[in-house]
Amino acid sequence: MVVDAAVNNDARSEIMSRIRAALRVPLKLDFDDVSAAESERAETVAATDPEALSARFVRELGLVGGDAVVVGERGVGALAKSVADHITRLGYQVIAVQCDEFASQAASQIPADKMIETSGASAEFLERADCAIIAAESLIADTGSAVVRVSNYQDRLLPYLPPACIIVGRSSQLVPSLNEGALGAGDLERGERVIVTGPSRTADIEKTVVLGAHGPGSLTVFVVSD
Amino acid sequence: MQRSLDHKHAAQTDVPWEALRSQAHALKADAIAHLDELLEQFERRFVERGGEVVWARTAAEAAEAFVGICRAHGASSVVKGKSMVSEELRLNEELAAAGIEPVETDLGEFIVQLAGDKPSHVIAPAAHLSRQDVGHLFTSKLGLEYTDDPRALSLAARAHLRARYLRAGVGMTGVNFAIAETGTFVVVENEGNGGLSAAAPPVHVAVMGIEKVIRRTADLNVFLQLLARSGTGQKITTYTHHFLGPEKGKRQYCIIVDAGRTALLADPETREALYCIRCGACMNVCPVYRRAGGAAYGSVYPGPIGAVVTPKMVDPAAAGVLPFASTLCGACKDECPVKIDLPLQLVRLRRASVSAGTSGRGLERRAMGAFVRAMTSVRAYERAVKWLRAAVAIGKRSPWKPGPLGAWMRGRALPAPARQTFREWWSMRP
Repeated sequence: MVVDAAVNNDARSEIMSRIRAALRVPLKLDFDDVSAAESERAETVAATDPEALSARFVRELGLVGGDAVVVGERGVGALAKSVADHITRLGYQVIAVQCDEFASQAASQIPADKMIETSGASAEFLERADCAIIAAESLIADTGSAVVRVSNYQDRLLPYLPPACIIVGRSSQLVPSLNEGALGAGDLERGERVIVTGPSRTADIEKTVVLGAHGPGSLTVFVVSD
Repeated sequence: MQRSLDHKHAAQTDVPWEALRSQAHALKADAIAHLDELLEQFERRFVERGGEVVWARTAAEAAEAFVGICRAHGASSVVKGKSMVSEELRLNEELAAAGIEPVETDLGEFIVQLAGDKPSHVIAPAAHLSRQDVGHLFTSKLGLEYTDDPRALSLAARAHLRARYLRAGVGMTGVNFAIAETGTFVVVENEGNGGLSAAAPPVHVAVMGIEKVIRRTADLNVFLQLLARSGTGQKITTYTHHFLGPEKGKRQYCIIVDAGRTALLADPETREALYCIRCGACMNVCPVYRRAGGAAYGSVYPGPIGAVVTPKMVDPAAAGVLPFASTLCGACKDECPVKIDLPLQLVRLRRASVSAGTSGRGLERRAMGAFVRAMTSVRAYERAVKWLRAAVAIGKRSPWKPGPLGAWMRGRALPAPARQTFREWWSMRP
């Protein structure tokens, strides 16, 4: 422990006793508000039809400046070809892939000389990449978001460091809206789960939207049927 | 400002907005009513995940703990994601005093830091600076060729800050929601600077007020829908980070700060202010904030919510001033995503301040007393009118302007009194 344990314990017990003393005077809660909360939780998208979900995902991601590519054919082979074509077309030269089986499969048709080894790499080394490939854990139609889980040092940097980011997912991962399943944390998980919705942006100068603030200026999500 | 409000209201139409607000209010009421249990549960679970919790009674204690963590890990610089609580801690000043360089990475905060200024809005800290201001600032401080193009300026800041993430020994973020059930916490942002600040340095220190804890992951869904819509008019921010505890090779600390929040909690009349999720919506609609700007409040938190929390949390002297800096029009209450009754809180604070005699309104009280006396007797009224006309005539010519009245008069021109009063005219009419 970096901070003095005795000081920390004192601070903790003093804050706790202040809270308990304060809460001895209860607040009269507004009955209507409580009953509203007990009623059903708001569901924003009713549709669960895969076609509709996919169309909605594409539209919403487009609205926030991202691109969605729905791969025409089924299977991971078609996805890999589509990703490789995309990378060739846009001229990306240094590709960093998340340490993940699905991400590796999606990157399997990219020429080997363009790939860098991320395992054990330093942040300075990863900075050389001009494109990252990351696997989605789920896709949220309502907001055009991809949920990704990154659990080691290198993977945690990939969503932000390279100027372009590719996220690969499967149509079976599409869910209508943000929910506990997509957001949740399992007992043993460490690192970070991040909901990515479009490319990095800022509007801090006169409210003018600029893409590529600190993270990627370009975000493409590939969705393949499975 | 109006355009962004319209934009925001559009984003609120695709969800059951009122139902969400009521849910959020009730969820916060529940969390605050069980704050002790939830904080203990959060601590237990966070520690199980490998995190370390530091408790701080005051802002100074929190800043000291932060500096201690930096020293223990040999950090010579800290990259900071956007955090209002770090403003409470005066963390930049404290770090600099300890020889540790603080680097603000949120573009708005970075601009404000370069300018040696303070944030004027909780989510748009540099809202008071024009693109030309920023252009000149970058030219003088970063030696860049002048441009006032927001895109070029934003990208220049990106390039300048990139190396700083990779060098920093400690990364700091705030906390939007700490989840008791899982011991994890959520930070929302748009730029990617929060993600980099948390991930790139070997140590991540998150600083949160005690009121940030919520009960369950399921509750997040309600708050996330409200926060982005109210803050920026987005459905969801670009990045919603859910931090799950440090991975191998990483250290993660959570500094839990009281700094006056238990004083807000102790008074049932102001307890509701702890439900605030810091979206800044009350500022955007406040006619006083929109005219006066954030700096006018002279406090870390400006606007209606600032006027409520500042007197209790930080500065009792503000009790006689800030709660009065409002027209009580109620726009903030209508806008608040967690339905805090801000005008009611302001009225309560005014009442408390007047009964405690700290309102500093002796002059106003005396003036109103004199007004009542003059208006309830014809003789007194006539005398008062005569006296006032003479006083105004003298006051207009006199260069000597004493006291609070003088301060008021220095910025204003007194109208000349009419040549005759109504009564004089009436008595002289043919």
